[in-house]
Amino acid sequence: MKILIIEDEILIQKSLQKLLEKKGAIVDSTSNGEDAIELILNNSYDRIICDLMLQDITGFDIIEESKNKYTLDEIKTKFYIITAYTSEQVLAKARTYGCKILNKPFTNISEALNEFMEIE
Amino acid sequence: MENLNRTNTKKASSKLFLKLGPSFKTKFLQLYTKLLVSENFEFDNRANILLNAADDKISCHFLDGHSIDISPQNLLVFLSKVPSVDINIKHHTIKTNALYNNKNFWCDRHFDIIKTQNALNNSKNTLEFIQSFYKLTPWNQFKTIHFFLHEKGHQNSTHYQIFKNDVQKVQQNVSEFNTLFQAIKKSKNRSFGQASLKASNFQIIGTCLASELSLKQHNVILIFTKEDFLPQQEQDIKEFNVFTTYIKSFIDISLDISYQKNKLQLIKQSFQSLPFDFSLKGQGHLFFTKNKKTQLFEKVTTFSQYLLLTKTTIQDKFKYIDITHKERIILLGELLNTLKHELSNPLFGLQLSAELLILEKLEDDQIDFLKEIALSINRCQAIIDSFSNLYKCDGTKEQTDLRQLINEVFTLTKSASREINKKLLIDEDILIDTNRTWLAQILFNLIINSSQALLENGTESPKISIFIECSSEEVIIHLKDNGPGVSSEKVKEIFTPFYTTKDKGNGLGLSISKSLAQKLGGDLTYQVDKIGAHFLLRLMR
Repeated sequence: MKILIIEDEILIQKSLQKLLEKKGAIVDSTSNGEDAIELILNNSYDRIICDLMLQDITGFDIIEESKNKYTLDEIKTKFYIITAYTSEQVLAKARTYGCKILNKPFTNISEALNEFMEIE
Repeated sequence: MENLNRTNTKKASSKLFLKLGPSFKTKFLQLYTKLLVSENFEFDNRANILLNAADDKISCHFLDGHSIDISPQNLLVFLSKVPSVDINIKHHTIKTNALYNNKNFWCDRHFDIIKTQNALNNSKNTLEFIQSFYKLTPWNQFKTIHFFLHEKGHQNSTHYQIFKNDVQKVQQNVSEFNTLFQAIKKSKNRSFGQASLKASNFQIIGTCLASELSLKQHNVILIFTKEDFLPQQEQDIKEFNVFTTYIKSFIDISLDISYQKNKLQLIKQSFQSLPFDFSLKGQGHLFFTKNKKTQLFEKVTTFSQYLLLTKTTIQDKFKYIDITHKERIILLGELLNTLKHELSNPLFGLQLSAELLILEKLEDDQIDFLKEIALSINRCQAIIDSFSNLYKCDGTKEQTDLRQLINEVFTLTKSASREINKKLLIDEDILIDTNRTWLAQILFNLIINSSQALLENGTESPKISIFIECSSEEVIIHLKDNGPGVSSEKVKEIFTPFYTTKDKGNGLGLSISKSLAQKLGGDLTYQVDKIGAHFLLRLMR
């Protein structure tokens, strides 16, 4: 299972990476949105875990760019949005892409990890 | 303090660029004083004018957003949105004029105007005010000031001869007054000889400077004389022209003041009937305190003094409670939101890393440490969540579990009440329909107050206990401690604003708590027990 983590909080990025690698996944990670887009276009990931608020661009921008590679259905299944935002506006926008959304901090970490590892 | 750039923005769409002309000074001074003595002008803004004067720019910034800027160097005037003052400024070619090219011209004028304003504030009546002109140069060289006053529509006019130490009053015939008024008005210069004014009719000796002023309800003639027969000096004539332009508004006000003495009385009375205690302070003095033994109200002797006081003290003070407190709450809410977001992310990172390390092959005691770390992190997150719940800014009611809420407040008051044994004595879950934020604030305030009193008093085995009395319609939350309590004489006072026994208290906690309780449809009261404080918070179910 190939996973990409896009998250600019380093501790979160590295721990998630390690935790998923322990579960047997191959994990790439980056804190930079532009780099993330490049990685997405040049590799094929089964799961993309994406934070909404990054330093350079937003998670939404990344999803838009991925449309150059993936169909809308693929975006629905591959992307997993993680965010600290709880505002209705943001969540509503996230839902328009149809992918799963998880609020940071995770209420149950192991459950979250299992969900990330599930391939549909 | 706004700088010149602000007036260059799109908002100042009614900007006029005008070239300075000879009539400009006059108009500007009129405008300046009119606005200076109007109700909108704040004392602090005058300091702004001084500052800019040093940079070669004079700006007047008024409370309602209007401003006037002048730059003597580039001779441009920016007028933005001048309120209800007619200004007809004609375009003139720029003439070199030693007076207005002089940087200091504006600064000097400004100081004079301030001095005059102060003189107005300190004088009991118009005559005293005019007498104060002797303190300004060059009027200190003059011997007599003749002040003719006619109230429009009245049969009589009065002529005052104002000397440096004396004032004499003579009744006057209106037609004679009008003749003099017209004669001065028609004349092109301000300097008059005895003959030209038929001055002997009026006991005016020698050559003089004369000006006629048409005020709101009066016509005034102002004559300065040295009582010699020498022609007036050029400089003095120029000075007089400038002076009479701006003195007009001040004289108008002082006349107004004299007629407003009754108004002052009425206002004093209305203050006395205000339904709350207050202190009126201003200019370093305590002027009036209501319901206390000292009544120093008599220190207010002039109406303008009074206006200054009422504007800056009593209104501000009570605005302070309402607006500043609300603003603080809203600001606090925003701050907490930001804080929550900023802290949540790194905390989550810590949480994940701790979980990760726990899975590693480490020594038992290392794993134990990591588990403690994880617990601490969870506690941090819980505290942040509690605060966020507490500061939701709306007044909506919701089902609240009292036990849970009180425990949350205990968490928040942990550091203030560290050594204090806190007990919540309730057997069942009690749910009521109420506003969490307000209720939490009241409880928070009560617990903090108790904690502080217990610690300060050095009570042995300090205790705070909360128990809840239920009936079908209401609940009463009892908060008791074993501290010094409140004596029965003081009970009435503790809920009043600004009552505090603490050095650093602002005295608003209990009064705000009480009004919040009333907002919730209940009340906050105190019961005198043998030992300790006992507050009762009654709420509807």
